[in-house]
Amino acid sequence: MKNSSDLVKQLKAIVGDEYVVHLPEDLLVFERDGSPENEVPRLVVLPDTTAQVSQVMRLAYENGIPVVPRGAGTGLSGGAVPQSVSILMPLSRMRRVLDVDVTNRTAVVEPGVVNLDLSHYTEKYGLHYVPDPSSQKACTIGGNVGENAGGPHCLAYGVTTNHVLGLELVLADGTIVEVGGDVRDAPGYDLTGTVVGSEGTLAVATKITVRLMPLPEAVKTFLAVYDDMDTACSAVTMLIGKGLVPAALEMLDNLTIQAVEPYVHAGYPLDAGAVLLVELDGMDETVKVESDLVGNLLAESGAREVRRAETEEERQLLWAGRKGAFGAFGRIAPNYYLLDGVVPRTRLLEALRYATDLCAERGLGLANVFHAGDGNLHPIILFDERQPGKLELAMRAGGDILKKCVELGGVLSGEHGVGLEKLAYMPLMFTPEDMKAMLKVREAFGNDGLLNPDKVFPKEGEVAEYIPQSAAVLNAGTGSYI
Amino acid sequence: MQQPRTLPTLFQSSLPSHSVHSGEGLEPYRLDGLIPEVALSPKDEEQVASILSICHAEGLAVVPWGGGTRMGLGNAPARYDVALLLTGLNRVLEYQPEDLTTTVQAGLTLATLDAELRKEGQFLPLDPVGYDRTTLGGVQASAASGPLRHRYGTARDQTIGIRVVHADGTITKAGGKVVKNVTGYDMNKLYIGSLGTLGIIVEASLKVMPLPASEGALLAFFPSIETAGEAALGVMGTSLDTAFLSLVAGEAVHELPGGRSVDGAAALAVGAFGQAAPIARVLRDATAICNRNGAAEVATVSSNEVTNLRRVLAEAPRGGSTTLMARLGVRPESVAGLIQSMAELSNKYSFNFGAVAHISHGIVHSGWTGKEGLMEAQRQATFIEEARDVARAEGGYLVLESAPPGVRALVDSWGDARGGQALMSNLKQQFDPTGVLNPGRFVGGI
Ligand SMILES: Cc1cc2nc3c(=O)[nH]c(=O)nc-3n(C[C@H](O)[C@H](O)[C@H](O)COP(=O)(O)OP(=O)(O)OC[C@H]3O[C@@H](n4cnc5c(N)ncnc54)[C@H](O)[C@@H]3O)c2cc1C
Repeated sequence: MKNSSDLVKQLKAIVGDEYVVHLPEDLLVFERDGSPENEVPRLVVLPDTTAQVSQVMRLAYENGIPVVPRGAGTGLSGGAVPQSVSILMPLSRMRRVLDVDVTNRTAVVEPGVVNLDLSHYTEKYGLHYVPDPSSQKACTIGGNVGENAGGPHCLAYGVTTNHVLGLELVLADGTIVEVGGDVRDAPGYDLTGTVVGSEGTLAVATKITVRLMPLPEAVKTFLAVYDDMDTACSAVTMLIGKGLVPAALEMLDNLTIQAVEPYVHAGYPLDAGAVLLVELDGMDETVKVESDLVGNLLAESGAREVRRAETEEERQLLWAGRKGAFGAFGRIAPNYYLLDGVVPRTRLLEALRYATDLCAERGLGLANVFHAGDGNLHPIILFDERQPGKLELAMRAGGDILKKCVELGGVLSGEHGVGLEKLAYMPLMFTPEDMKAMLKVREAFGNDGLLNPDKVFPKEGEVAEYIPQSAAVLNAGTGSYI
Repeated sequence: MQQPRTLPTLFQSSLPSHSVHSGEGLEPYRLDGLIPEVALSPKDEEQVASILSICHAEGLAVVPWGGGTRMGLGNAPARYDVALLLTGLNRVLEYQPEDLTTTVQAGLTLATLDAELRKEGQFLPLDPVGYDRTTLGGVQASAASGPLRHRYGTARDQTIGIRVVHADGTITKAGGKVVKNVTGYDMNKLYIGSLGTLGIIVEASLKVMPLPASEGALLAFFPSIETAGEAALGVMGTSLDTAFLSLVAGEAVHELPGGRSVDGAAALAVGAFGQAAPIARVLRDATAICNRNGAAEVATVSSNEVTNLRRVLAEAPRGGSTTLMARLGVRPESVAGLIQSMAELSNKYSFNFGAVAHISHGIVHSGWTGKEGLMEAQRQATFIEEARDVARAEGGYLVLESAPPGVRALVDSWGDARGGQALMSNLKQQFDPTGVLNPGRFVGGI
C-alpha cells in the first residue's frame, strides 16, 4: 500500500485540497451516522462530480482501500459508519437538481440533494417527490436510494423504489454505468430496482432519475382518540379492510403522548391509550367523499373522540405531536433504542402486546409511535445507560421483539435497513442459501470487499443466534421525528 | 437412425409418469422450430427443484412455460432439451383479505387468482394481454403490463416476495409477506423481468387492492394522432386521479366499442375508479381537455362497459391475425410522434398498423398485419430494424414480442440493452454459469 501522504496527495489532485480530510481531529466528526456505531475513518474525501467519484474509487480500488459512501449520515442502522481502514465518501457536495422535466414528470438529481429541498424545488411546477422520510429536512436522495427509505405518506404512494426510474452508478472499481432512466421497461434486468436498498454495497449512485407526482388538491387530517391500544389497532385493521388506503395512517401510544404533549401542545389527551392520525389527500371530490366515510368509520371504531382539522394551522398542530415525538423522549429517559420491525397489519396488536409485556417484565420503558397503516412498528425501548446492565437488557429485548415480528410473518426492517445493527439477525429471516443468492449479486457488481464492506450480510460462520452487539441508540434533537 | 434417447427416464424417480411427456405430446412446446426431448409438469416446488438439479447435473437446457401466452418474447433458445410446464403449481397458499396480501404459486392464472380475490372485494391490478391464460409467474418473468399500470404500476410494484428455484435446484426466497420491507437486497426486482434466465419463480407474495366502488371512462375520437396525443398530455398534466390513460391509433381504433364506424385516426381512453363524484369530475375535466384539442366525438362509457373497454385496451393491437407484435418505449411526450412515425413507416411497407399506448409510462404496444403477399420474412425483418431505428432516434427502444419463426431468425428480439450489459452478463454468470435456464433467449445473448 502507498504511504498515506502519497495517497492524500493523489486524492487532493482529484477533488481539490480542501476536500480531503485527513487530520485526526477533523476526521472525528465523521465517525458516526444516526446509529450508535462509530469508528474514525482513515480519510474523508468529498467529490463534486461523477468523474471525481470514479477517480477516487479507482484509486482506492487499486490500493485495496475500502470506500464507504455517505449521504447526510441520518441512517439508523449504521450503513454509513466507516472502518478505520476505509475512505469515507460523503456525496454532500453533489447537490444539484440537474433537470426537472415537467411534461414527463421526472427529475434528475445528484445524490446529495436533500429530500425536502427537491419537493420545494418542484413545487412551482405543481409537482413533488412523494417519499417523505421523517428525516426529510436532512437526509439525501442518495441515502434514500441506499436504504430504500419510506415515510408517513408512503402508504398510498409507495416507497423510494417505486419512485426511482434510473441511476448513474459508479462501481467499486470506478466504472461508470447508467441503468434505467426516464424511458421505462427498457430491455434487460431491472438493475435500478436491484440497487435501490442495497445500502451502498453494490454501487455509488451519482445521478438519480425520479418520478414526480402532482401536488394534491386537497388534504384532510383526522385525529381519533382511543382509551386503549387494542381498539386503536382494530380501527386500523377496519379502515384497511374497508378498502380505504389513506395517504397516512400513524399511531402514537400513551407514553409517547405523555412525552410529547407537555411541550408540543398538539391537544392530545394525556390519558388517552392511543391516538391515530389519518390523512387523506388527492382530488377535492375524492377527499370530500372519503373524509365523510372516514369520519363515520372512526366514529364507529370505538374512538372516544374524533377531531377533524378544519384549517391548515389545525392540521399542522395535529402533525406537530407526531413529528415532535422523537425529540420528546429525551424528557422521559436518557437513552432509547429504536426498532423498525414490520408485521402483517392484522398482527399489529399481537406484536405490540408482546413488546409491552416483555419490556414491563424486564423493567424497561416502551413507547410506540409508528406507521400503523403498513404494519411498520417503531417500538422505542427507553432506558438509562448509566444503570449497569440496562443497555444489554434493552438490546436483548430489541432482538426478541424483532424475532417476534419475524415469527408473526413479518420482517426485520421496514425502512431503516440492516447495516451493522441487524447483521446478526439476518439468519432469523434468511437461510444461508437465501443470503448466498444476494451475495452473488454483490459479486456480479464487482464488489470484492472494497465497497461498504461488513454491512448487510453476517460473515460466514457467524452464529445463527443473534447477539445484541449494536443498535440504534439515538440522541436525535428536537425537530426530527421518526 | 439416431440412437434412442432415454432423457425422459432421467426424471422417472422424481416425477410420477403422468407428469413426464414425450413423443407426440411435445408438439405444443415447439419454439422456433426446436422441439424439446421431454416436457415435465411438476406439481410443487420440490419437484421443480429435483428436475433442475438433474438438468444441472446432466447439462440440459430448460425452457420454462407458464400459460404460453408470451413465448414469442425473447430469441430462439440456444439449446432446448426440457420444457418445464408450471401450470401445475396453481394453488393459493395464503390469503388474508384484511392484510391486503396473498401468497400464491406462480403457475396460477391471473383470471383464477382474480376470481378468488373478487370474492373478498379485492383485485390484483395487473392486466396484461392474455389475461385468461397467462400465469402470474409468466407475467412476472416477462414484466408484462396493461392499461392499469398508469395508476397501479407493474409487477415490480405489486410483488413483495418471491421464491425461486435456481439453476442447480437450490430454492431461495426473497422479500417477505408484508407490504414494507428493506431487509437484505430487493431480489424481487432482479427476478421480475428476467425471463426465467436467473431462476424459476415458483411462488410469489403480492399486494392486492380493494375493488373500486365503481368505474367510469370516456372514449374520445380524434382526427389525428397528434391531437389525441396533445389531449393525452393535457390530461396527464393535471392532478386528475385517472386509472388509465391510453392512446389508441390505427387499426386498434376499430376494435374499440363504437370504434368500427369511426374513421378517426386515433382515440383516447380515460378511466377513473372510485366514488361517483370524483369519477364525474375526471370525466368532465377530461372531456373539456379533449374538446379543446379538437376531438371529433367524446363518448361516455357506461360503467358496466368499462371492464370490457379495459380488456380491449390490453388486447387490441395484438388480436386476431396480427403477424408482428412489439412493445416500444419512449418518454411520454414522444409517444404520439413515435406512433405517427410508425404509421408512416407501416404505410410505406403497406402493413396494417395498430397501437395502444399507456402514455404516462411511454409504453406503446404495436401490432402489424400484412396486406396481401408483402410479408416475406426478410421484408418484415428489415421493417422491424427500421422501426427500431425510429424508436432509438426518439431515445427509446423496440422489443419484438411476436413474429413468425422466419423473421425471428433474422432479427434480435431485444435490440441492445441501454446500459449495464456487462453487469447483466455477470449476473447470469453468477446465477446460471452453465446455461441451464432459457439459454440464449435474453438480452445480449444471455
Ligand atoms: C430522526 C430520524 C427520523 C427518520 N425517519 C425515517 C423515516 O421516516 N423513514 C425512513 O425510511 N428512514 C428514516 N430515518 C432514517 C434515515 O433518515 C434514512 O435511512 C435516510 O434514507 C438516510 O439518508 P442519509 O442521506 O442520511 O444517508 P446515510 O445515513 O448517510 O447513508 C445511508 C446508507 O446509504 C448509503 N449511501 C449514501 N449515499 C449513497 C449513494 N449516493 N449511493 C449509494 N449508497 C449511498 C450509505 O452507505 C448507507 O449505507 C430517520 C432517521 C432519523 C435520524
